Amino acid sequence: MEVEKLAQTFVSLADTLVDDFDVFDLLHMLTSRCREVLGAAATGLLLADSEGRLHVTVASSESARLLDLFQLQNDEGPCLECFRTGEPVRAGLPDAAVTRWPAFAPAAVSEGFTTVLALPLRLRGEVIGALNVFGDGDNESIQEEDIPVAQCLADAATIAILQDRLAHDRNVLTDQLQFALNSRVAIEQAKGALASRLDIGTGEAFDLLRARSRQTRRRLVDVAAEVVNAGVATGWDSLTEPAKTPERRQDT
Amino acid sequence: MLPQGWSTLIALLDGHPDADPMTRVQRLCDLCVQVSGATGATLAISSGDLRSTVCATDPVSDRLEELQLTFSEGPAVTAVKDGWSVLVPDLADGSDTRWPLFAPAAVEQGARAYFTFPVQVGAIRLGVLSLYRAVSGMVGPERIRDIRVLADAAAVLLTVGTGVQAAEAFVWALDDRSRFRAEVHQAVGATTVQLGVTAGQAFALLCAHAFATGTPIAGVAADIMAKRLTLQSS
Repeated sequence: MEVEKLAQTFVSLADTLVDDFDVFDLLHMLTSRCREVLGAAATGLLLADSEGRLHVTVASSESARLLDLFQLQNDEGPCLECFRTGEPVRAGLPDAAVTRWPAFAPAAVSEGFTTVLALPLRLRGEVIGALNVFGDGDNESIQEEDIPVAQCLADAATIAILQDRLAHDRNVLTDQLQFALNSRVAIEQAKGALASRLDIGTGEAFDLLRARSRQTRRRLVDVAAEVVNAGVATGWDSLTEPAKTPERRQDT
Repeated sequence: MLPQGWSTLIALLDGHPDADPMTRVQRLCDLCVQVSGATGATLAISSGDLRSTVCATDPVSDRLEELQLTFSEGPAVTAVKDGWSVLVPDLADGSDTRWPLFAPAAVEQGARAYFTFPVQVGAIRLGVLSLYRAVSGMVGPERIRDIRVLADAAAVLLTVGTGVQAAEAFVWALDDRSRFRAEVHQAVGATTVQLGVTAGQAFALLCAHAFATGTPIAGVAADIMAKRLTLQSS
């Protein structure tokens, strides 16, 4: 575990929360930092919708296979267990988990993962989602003692979501969750549209969306909506040669 | 509270196998009133700045929708614009100055509380589901959950209803849990570019193709993203 990176993460977080911030950018930063701090292979954050279904909201990598792996946990897997019990779930793959998660565990193993950890996103006794961490080293690559650190990052994500809600002067948390989930859908739609228009992968399409969001200082979800609703209109093709992106402190 | 599960909801909306889309929209609005304890409900479709009422359970609901069209302001206008639900527990509360024209006019019509939920799938803004109550007060979280389920059903209903007439296609799309996968949304985006259609139309075409070929929606989406399939516009 890298203490310095963890400290930096919380400094960035404090720095970001005072501003009018993009909750997606922040959650993206948190999942990426969580991956670095724990030396994990991949991390993702899932939020529950009004029906209690879990949806991937951000992931440390936009690879479709990874996103699918997270999404599988809508039916079974550590995130779902963690979401239902409100307790951390840590398991070695495949030995401990194949009988427990017959669909999820083999899929995770085939992606090269050996350990999985799921932490609840808790708010006043209610579980609103889960943070998922995959390790790919030996079976002990994610230790029991990493759990409190990861839980801190999960709590920070909850604060970020709440803070965004306050910034928008909203009444109910479910509204905030619904907005985050719907925004994720818009981002996926925009990734598909850009990938098809520019003949690139969806991961690369996401990078372009992020670059445009930063260049224009607009929220990722607003840029995504513009892409989807622009139809056949042009203007995005210039993105194949993106202008230099100004670096932002929390993501360096 | 609504019974859990889509199949029950579908059964409620789909009392007759040959029910037309309009009948289903009416059932949905009636159900919305039942589960929420509201006095009335409306479902309106939106396209850009334009909105038109598809269904209203009573004349007051219809009038509230009309007022917002006339004034170009109101909770439903805000909900459509921002993609947020807007909950107004007391329209007569003078400290809320967001709708200076609509609020007093609505109170005059007999509405005290107004709750409005965008009907949307990602960037596809389809419309808005609105409820009013004759007495003031906030609606409880359980009831909000139920209304969201119905708004989600309305999204599929409006999409499939406009693109595909077959009732079975609607049931198919609503019952297919794979429609929540990331790839499905990506395929919707890709189809808008390939066919030059709106995202709503693309989603409808995807549902229709899945139904016609008996494939899960995620399977059709995977084929589109892997360039093994391009949908044909109808």
